[in-house]
Amino acid sequence: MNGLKITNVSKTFGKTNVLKDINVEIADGKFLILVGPSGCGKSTLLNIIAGLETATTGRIEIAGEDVISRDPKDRNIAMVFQSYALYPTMTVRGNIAFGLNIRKVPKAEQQQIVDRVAKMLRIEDLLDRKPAQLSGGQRQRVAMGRALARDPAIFLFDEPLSNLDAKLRVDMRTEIKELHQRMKTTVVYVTHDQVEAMTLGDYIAVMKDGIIQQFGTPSEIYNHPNNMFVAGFMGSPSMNFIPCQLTEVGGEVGVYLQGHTTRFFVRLSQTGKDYSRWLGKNLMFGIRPEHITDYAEQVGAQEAIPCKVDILEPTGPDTLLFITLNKVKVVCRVTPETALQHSIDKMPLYFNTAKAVLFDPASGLAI
Amino acid sequence: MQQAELQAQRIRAAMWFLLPMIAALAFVAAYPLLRSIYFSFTDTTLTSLYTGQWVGFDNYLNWRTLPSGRTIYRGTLVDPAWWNAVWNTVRFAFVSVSIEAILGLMVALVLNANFHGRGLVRAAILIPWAIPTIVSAKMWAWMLNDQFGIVNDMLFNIGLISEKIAWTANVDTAMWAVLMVDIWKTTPFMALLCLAGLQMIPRDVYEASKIDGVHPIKVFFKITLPLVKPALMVAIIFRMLDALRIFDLVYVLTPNSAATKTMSVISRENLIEFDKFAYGSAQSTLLFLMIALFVTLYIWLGKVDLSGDKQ
Ligand SMILES: Nc1ncnc2c1ncn2[C@@H]1O[C@H](COP(=O)(O)OP(=O)(O)O)[C@@H](O)[C@H]1O
Ligand SMILES: [Mg+2]
Repeated sequence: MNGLKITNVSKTFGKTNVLKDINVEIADGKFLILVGPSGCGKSTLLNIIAGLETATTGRIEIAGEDVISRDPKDRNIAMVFQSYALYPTMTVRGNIAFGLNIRKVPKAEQQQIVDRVAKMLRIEDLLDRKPAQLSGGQRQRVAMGRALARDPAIFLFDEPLSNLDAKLRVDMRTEIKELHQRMKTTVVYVTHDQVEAMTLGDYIAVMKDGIIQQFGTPSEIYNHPNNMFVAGFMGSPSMNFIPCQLTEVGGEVGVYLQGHTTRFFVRLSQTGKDYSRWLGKNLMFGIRPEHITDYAEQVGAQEAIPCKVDILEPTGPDTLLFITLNKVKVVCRVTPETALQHSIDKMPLYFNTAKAVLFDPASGLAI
Repeated sequence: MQQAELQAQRIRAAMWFLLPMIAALAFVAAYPLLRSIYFSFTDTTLTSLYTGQWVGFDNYLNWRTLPSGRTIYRGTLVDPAWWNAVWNTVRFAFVSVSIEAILGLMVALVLNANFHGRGLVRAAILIPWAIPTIVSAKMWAWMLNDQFGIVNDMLFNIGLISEKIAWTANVDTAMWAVLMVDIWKTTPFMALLCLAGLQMIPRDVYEASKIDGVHPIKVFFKITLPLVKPALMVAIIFRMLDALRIFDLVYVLTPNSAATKTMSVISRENLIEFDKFAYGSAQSTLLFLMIALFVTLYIWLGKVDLSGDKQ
């Protein structure tokens, strides 16, 4: 059974086309992430799933049932809002029970559900407070509690963690993941944070300008981006894009990279793709920071290339190095020990070309 | 030590900033108020403004026992005209403010919805409020006129009334005429204050209530009303203060009608027309005390209510 199926959904506000022909399908119990920059239409899509907005065209199925003509309350959904949307005049208990009350769940059962949810989210002590007396993190929990109380076919989250401070955000992220693994209910989760997307999702839909740029598992999205936007959006620091020309040297396809002092050839045979059609063309060589590194064993047989480092940024677990290749700034990631051992002018770096991606700069698409 | 010095310096600076304001208030508010309270304890008349003698509470209440053993009470507190005015004022204030609050809230709810030309309607609805009271009172006086008023004409033509009614002169309808004009004029103000309150309510609370499937009427009473209540309370107190000292509308629309004479009207009458300056001052003072009492009560009751909310 499918958990959620979105078919040909478009949405226009007046003349602006906010969503363009969205198609997504996930199985029951999966965790779907909608990620993309602000204003790309994530919330609009979520609101269409919820029934708070009507789609201009298209169909929505939740748990195998077509819900497009139903009211939000009849879609068997629960939603957590970015600003929590707690009922300000009701206590925490009232907030959690209100939806049950409306659905005429017997009082005793309501009590049971509230207690169970409160225990699950560790908010038992807060039940008699009003939202105004809670911290941001506590309100967030209550908002989750209100959704959990309902036991719906699908949970909808609209950037639920974006108003929390960094540490709390990481904690809640883990908790949401745990909850999902326990409850096994379908989730659609909107975020603009690529770390949340990577850590939480079973599937990720990367959106931009109302179009799904790529849909896939986190590792597909991360390792095989469809285009330069997806490649650049997912990952931090983001992927390096180096302009280059595809050449053949001694039967090996690859690109020349020019540093401050050195010029060297990088073979691309390890990517296992056939690039013969693109020989002699100007392309973008995409490589993530962790793939220009000092972890020799990870990279295979390639030899180290001594590079001159412009800037060195220790982050703790790794150190980021900024070098210049083909006139653009390139970030690399090495262990702090390596960064200390070697001279700034001759840092030995390995290029893990097996993980590199080539893009057509005209269309931005991966080759 | 240095901190205390700094603190003292700040307080001095604050005093200097406050001084002009305090001086202005003392001059335009405190002095006239204290002076009319003082007048109310004298036998001042319009012609002897500076030579009035202290008579204590005589303007409020005094009595004399006649040789026959009968006691005669005099003063504002036993003056039926005064109590009639008090009753008129209180009745007017409660009815007008209640209706204005309900209508204003309804109008605000409509204006808060999304529809075409909302900006224009919002501006248009303010027109009655923007017209000076004297002008709108005169305008309504003409429209309600029994001979050539348009209201009578229309009601007569559609057959709702069989003979033309002197709305403002008739004892039975005068108060209703005043109420109607005041409601017409002041509902927009109420609506605007309520609208400001409504716009403070975050939209997503309503989205949450849609997902919970709450009936719109329940949404109003459980979510909207509690959230606009603070704004509504402020709006009501403003209007109540205005209504309790209403003068201009009554004076212009229904001059000299006992059915509508309010406290302000009657005290002006005594002060200026009847040359009972001290007596009118006593009535003004009583009006001031009543309003002060009402505001204190309202704020006190309101506070109890509000803190109950925040628990
Ligand atoms: N009610 C609306 N009327 C007009 N435009 C809207 C409305 N809601 C959203 N939009 C526009 O649709 C686009 C997508 O909005 P939204 O879905 O909220 O983006 P996101 O959640 O990805 O940040 C934005 O450009 C926004 O301005
Ligand atoms: Mg959004």
